[in-house]
Amino acid sequence: MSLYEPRRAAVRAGPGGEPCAVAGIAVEAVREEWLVEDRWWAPRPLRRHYFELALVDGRNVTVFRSAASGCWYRQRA
Amino acid sequence: MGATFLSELPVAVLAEHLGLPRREAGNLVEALRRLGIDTLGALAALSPSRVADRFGPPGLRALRLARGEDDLLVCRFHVAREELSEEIELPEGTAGSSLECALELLVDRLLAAPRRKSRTLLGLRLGALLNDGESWSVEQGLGRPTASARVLRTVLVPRLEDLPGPAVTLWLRSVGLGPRAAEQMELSVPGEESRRRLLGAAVREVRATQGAAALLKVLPVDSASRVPERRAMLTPFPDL
Repeated sequence: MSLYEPRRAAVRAGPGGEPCAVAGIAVEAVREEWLVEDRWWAPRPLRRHYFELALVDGRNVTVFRSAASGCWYRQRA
Repeated sequence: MGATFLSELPVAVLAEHLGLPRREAGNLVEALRRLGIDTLGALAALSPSRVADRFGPPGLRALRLARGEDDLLVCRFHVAREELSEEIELPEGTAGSSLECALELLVDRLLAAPRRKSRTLLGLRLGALLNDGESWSVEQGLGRPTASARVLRTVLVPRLEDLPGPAVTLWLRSVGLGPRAAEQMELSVPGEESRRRLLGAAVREVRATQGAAALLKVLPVDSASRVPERRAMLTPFPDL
């Protein structure tokens, strides 16, 4: 069992792929974004596009989109 | 077949099957060890008359057990022979202290396996699947049966230096299970022992009321990883 396991998140993204809302809460600003690529040599490579977001309710959250599944996840990081 | 199976087990496993008071059984096992008779195979090779001369009826009883002439014992050992196994996938470039953390995690998992049923371990096999597809493993004896995470880590960590190259998977298997941990003698350290006993009692109480998975500890694995879930693991809190 791992700490910081990613959990599925309901993220609405804009046409450019940037998140507009997380769980129905609008995104105020994208504070930072980065790519993580690992195990590209393995059968199940890891490729994630992370976004650190400020929501309109004042919370900071980190989400990522998995390139493999196309799904969005929320993660404490 | 029974004798063959038994031959590689340490003489310590006889202690609880001799029908003797614990102290007396322990003395017999210790005397065998002092004479260089470390395994049941070595004992079984001795002649009954020599064993009787030196150890009397308890020695003959031990000899019968070592030769597999007690079917009940062989059967019980076969049950205890079941293997426990744990493995962990390693992040790229895991080495040094991170590798030791992975090993610590494996030790904790192995000791927490419900199938162990509080029994001690007689030996271990540590292995790895290497980056280049090759595999590596090494067997580690324990000298005497133990279920102490500290002891297991102490003997296993140096073996990591024998790893011939980067590994993608590290695994740990038991090689035989011994008597229950509660039946083992322990070294006592004044002060520390009483604290450990109190803490151990608290751990058992929480587990009894909240379930085995209620107590976990955070084990840093790769604190610099860019993948957050690889930085730390939750691992079973060890028995104390």
